[in-house]
Amino acid sequence: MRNLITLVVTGIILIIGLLAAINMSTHSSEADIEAVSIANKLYESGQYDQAIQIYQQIISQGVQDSAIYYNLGNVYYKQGDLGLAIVNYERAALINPRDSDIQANLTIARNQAVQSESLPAIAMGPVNSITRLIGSWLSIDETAILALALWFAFSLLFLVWLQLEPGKARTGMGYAVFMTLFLVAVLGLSLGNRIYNGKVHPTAVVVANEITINSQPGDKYATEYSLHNGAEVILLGTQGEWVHLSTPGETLDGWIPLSAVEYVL
Amino acid sequence: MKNLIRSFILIMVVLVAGLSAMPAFAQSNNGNNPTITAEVDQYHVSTDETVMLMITLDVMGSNPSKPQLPSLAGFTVIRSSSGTQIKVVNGEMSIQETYQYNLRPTQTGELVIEPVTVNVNGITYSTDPIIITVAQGNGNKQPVPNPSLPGMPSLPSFPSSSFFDSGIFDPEPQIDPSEAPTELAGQDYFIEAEVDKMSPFVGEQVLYTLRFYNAVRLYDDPEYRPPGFTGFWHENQPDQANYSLQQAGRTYKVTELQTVLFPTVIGKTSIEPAEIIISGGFFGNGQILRTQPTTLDVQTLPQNSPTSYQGAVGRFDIQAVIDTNHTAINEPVTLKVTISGQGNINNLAEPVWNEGPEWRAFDSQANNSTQFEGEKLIGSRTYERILVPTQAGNLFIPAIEFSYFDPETSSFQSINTQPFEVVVESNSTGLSSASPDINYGSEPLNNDSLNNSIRPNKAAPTNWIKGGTLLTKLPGYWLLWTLPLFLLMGQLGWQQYLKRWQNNPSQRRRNEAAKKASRAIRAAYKRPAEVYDAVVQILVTFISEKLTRPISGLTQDELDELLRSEGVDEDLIERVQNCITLSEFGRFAQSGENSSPQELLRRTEKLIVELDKTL
Repeated sequence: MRNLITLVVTGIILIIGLLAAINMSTHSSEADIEAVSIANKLYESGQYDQAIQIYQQIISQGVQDSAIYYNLGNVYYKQGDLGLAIVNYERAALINPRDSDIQANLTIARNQAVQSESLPAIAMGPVNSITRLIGSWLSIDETAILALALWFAFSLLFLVWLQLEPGKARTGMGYAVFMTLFLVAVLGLSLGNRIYNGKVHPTAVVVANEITINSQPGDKYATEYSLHNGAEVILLGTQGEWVHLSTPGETLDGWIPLSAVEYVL
Repeated sequence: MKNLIRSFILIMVVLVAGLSAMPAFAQSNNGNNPTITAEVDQYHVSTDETVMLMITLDVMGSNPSKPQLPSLAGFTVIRSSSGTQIKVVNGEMSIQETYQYNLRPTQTGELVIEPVTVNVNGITYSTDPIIITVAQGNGNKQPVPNPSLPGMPSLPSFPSSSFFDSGIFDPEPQIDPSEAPTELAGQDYFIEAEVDKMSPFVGEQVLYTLRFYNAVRLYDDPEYRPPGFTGFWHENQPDQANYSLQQAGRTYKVTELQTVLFPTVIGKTSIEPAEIIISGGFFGNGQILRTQPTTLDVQTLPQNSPTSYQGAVGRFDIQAVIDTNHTAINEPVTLKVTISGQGNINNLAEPVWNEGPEWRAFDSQANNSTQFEGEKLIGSRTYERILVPTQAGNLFIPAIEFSYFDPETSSFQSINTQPFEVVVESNSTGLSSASPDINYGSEPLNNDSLNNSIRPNKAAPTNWIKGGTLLTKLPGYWLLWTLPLFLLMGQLGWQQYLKRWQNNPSQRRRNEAAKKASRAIRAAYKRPAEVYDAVVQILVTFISEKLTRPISGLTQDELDELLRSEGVDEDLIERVQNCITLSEFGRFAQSGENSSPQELLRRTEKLIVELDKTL
């Protein structure tokens, strides 16, 4: 009886902890429907600059909504600015990766972005592959909450397993514990990888029409390679007004002016 | 159990390590396998000709160090240049650096170009020596061929000041020698800086001019380090002037750079020295030229500024237009305000917008356009403001006032746009009502990617997230990961406590003595006839359990001694004896001659509490 009470109390505490985590991640407020409607009307009537102005103002107020970034991406696309279109589609996809409209428009914009040369196919390691797969379904906050929930579930199942007498029930519970732990490890690794990449190797998009890659930070180190508007790159570091980047798969490595790229995050 | 706890802790450690240990992408370095070659375009020349020496360095991976040139005895370097090529083959990067030198022989005979060396990862690589046979020329020096290096970088922004004997040199305008600075007295190089105003108003344009005079051949383009211009907003004049000057028997090539400054700090403000670094090439020492610092006395503006003044200094004009004067409720009108003129255009403050509550306004977007007209910076700044009418009728967009300080007249001026009248209908028209926001929801990917038509905009959501932070950036989130550990420790602690409790009955009794006594007292309240019996029983049982020994057979003195030895003070011992005595009397005495039972129970209760603290 006492053990059962302890388990129930533990479960309740863990559920409260999980609800606290969910509460931490949401800061919902009433949307400015009128502003978005006005911006959409401006977009539909071809007044792209004005539409951008309103969307940018909404974002500058701290709004993080996938629809706003998606709409802003559409405006830039219509203006012919593939770089900024891709940046905003990717920002929308980070918030809502399961939205098919975002994925569709992002694919269209990427297909139209010109690369200076055809780069070999990117071979990703298993960690990055898992991260990409999970990232295509869950935003980073959703991944964080799910990982925490699974960790709590593992802990509770483990405590139950400890209380059980040896037998079929204990064996079954053991499998459940192991499976939960495996899922925690996978999600945790994916989450950690996304946090690490976001901090150490953030992604960016080239927003200049065409920019020459330099071997060192400085105008006199130009190489014969260049990147075009819409090219997606990984940033390795900065030095003054220059940024060190590589293309995905590290096929190209060099420096370009910081003003030529826009960070996705 | 201990093994299981160890397993759990091990799992926790592995998990935490797994979360924090991120995969690192090791870059494989197959190691540098450098090659260095030196070659010339001809092996037999005369003293009228030049030899092109090309040194090529191929390295895999990171950038190599610069090669060490030999002395090149018997030659003069006419021109030098370098270039870099980066190639990626099968994912591996290789760098090719090329150095080119145009050499003119200064003597006849067999001249040797000694080996060129380079150090890569501690290993020295070198070229083979090259032998050039030089014959005497007839005095007609041949022109130096243009560089032919592939992937040659563009030259630095500061102009090359090399002179060539070949006569390719284009003559430049000459200035009157009387305009030359007095400090120019025949030296090879000279640098000076000057401003056109020493006491400007704050925000007034000041022209900073740097001049570089050189009379000798330069092996490399000099490096210009401008001042930081602390205390000024500045803009560089993109064009530079080049002219020549005859002074002290020498011909100087003069390069002039101009920068427009707008002081932002009142009082004495210094412009730091500018520097020009002249490379000595591989055969000589370089030189650093510095200007003198310049101190301006920046004046404050007069106090009588109009209310609409926000810092503009110069001469300006203002115009405004709207894109339509007939609209409907919630249909936007774009107001474009352009301020143009001469002055600090790029850091003009936004005009004071004064439309009424019938308009909903969105943030303005500003676009600048500036250029140099002579020595003045002119341009325009355009603000686009979206105004949305919230009610129908004839609405007005009021005139906008703009004020600036004119340094030429030392006075403030105010100018206005015209007001606009806009007719606002009550019903939406056109696209706004014909095409409501449509959210297509989740449709599978189809041939859109091939048709290149993107999906339409989404309608506004009912709620959105505002001002949130990523969960993983909150310390509270990571703290929650430790919650199961604390719960497990809590449970283990509880189990240990229970075990100790079950294995030590006397301790349990000791801990529960006060509670048991309280329960007995409460029960005694309900049975007044048995109070006197109960009080003795309660006290004796309580003290026995607290001291974990029976005391019922002890005399009064023995009980006193026992309590004294347990640290109970005399007053409390006396009260205990008193209580016991009263109970004894109560059992045997007539009614009405003793304290009431309730009073006795209260005393006993108090005693129990005090004894519980002491024992």
